[in-house]
Amino acid sequence: MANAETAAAVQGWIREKIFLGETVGDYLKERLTAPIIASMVVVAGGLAVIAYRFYAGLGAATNLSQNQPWGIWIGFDMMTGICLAAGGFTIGAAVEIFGLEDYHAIERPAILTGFLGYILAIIGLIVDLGKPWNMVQVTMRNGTQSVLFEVAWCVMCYTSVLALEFAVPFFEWLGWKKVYEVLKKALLGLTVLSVMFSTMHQSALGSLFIIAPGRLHPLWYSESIFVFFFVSAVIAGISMVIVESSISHTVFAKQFQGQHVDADALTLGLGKAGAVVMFAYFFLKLQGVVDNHAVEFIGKGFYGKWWLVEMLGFVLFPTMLYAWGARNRRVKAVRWAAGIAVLGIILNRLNISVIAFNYKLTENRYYPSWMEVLVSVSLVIIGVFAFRWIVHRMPVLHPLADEN
Amino acid sequence: MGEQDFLSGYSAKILEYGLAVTYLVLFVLFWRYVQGGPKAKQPGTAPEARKP
Repeated sequence: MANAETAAAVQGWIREKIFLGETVGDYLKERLTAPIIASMVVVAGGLAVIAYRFYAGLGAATNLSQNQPWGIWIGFDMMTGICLAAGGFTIGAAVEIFGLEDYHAIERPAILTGFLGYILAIIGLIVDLGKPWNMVQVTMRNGTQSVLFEVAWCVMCYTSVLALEFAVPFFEWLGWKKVYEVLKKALLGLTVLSVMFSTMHQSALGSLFIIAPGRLHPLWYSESIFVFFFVSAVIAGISMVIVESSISHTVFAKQFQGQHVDADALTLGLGKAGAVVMFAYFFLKLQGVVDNHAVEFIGKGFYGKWWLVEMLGFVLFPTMLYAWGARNRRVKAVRWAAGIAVLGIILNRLNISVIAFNYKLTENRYYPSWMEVLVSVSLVIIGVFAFRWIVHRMPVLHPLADEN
Repeated sequence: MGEQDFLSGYSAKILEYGLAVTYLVLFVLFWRYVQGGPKAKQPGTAPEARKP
């Protein structure tokens, strides 16, 4: 009798929490639309390619070579994914450390975006590295003179911190109030740790390229590249939060009903911060070029022109658009600036790790294989699905119903 | 990378310091521009939420 009651309670819990109070049939019927099915087909293809990569090896699934050992799984999934996930520590620091309580409403979505970004970046890294069971070696060996050692430790630690930060809404959703209260009290400490680990490894990702002055084009190479990586991560964090909250306010509009959050004012505030940081970043990058004696390369050849496209089109232009939008209270302009800035960060990371890397090679240049592209697209789709699934259930964009 | 000798560092220094000074001057103007414009209300809370 007791077993039957327990089983009924569990079934009720699953129906309420997982299937949003609907039967499995109704739930699937309502959600299996054509775009969702198409996305699932792409993800299934991506998972099949991952299985093939582990079966046949990196050479069979990718266009990587001894000349170009890093492709888009590192350049896009890892470098860009980690950078775009910087909203977690940026907004976390603004709210918990600097006391900008107005931004509290966007702290949880930023942490969730960061957490998912890191998980997907780690999956991409594991697919690239192969033999995931060997990753545990990092914790057993002393490699303190290696930048990769620092990156590995910081990513492990920061992902753990993000998991604990995300555990706050997760346990609130489960109704485990004691654990939730303890974690909520620990949030300030966790934010301090997240800022520390992020600062270390966002910059360390840039430090990976310090040993490649001959391989990375002089316009992108700099001995201060770790500073550029950190500052651009802050820009990516701010811009990604604006992009993500703009999309959330459209897609999950129902969840914002009844909330007294002035999203436009938050966007304008973030736009102002974005403008100032991007302005500084533009001059820092110029300083890097001068310091590297690479001024002569500006505008010269493909790479010189490509660098101008990145700097003028994806750094200076969004800087001015951010400034104009924030000054004149044009929310749309700020959102456009954020979108362009995000594209600029993606372009910058791809330039450094793929496009302007090995720039001296005239033949056998690296182009990603269709399998590499499929895996990267699949990971992005999985991230979007996961965000959507969580936001529909857990108190990320809204307080729980009984607290409304 | 450009060739380096004892003298090439000198011109770079002038450019570097010039760039830093230019940045500082422009930053003041940029900051004033961004902070100007129509007076913004306090971000984050909608007007009706602030009513007692």
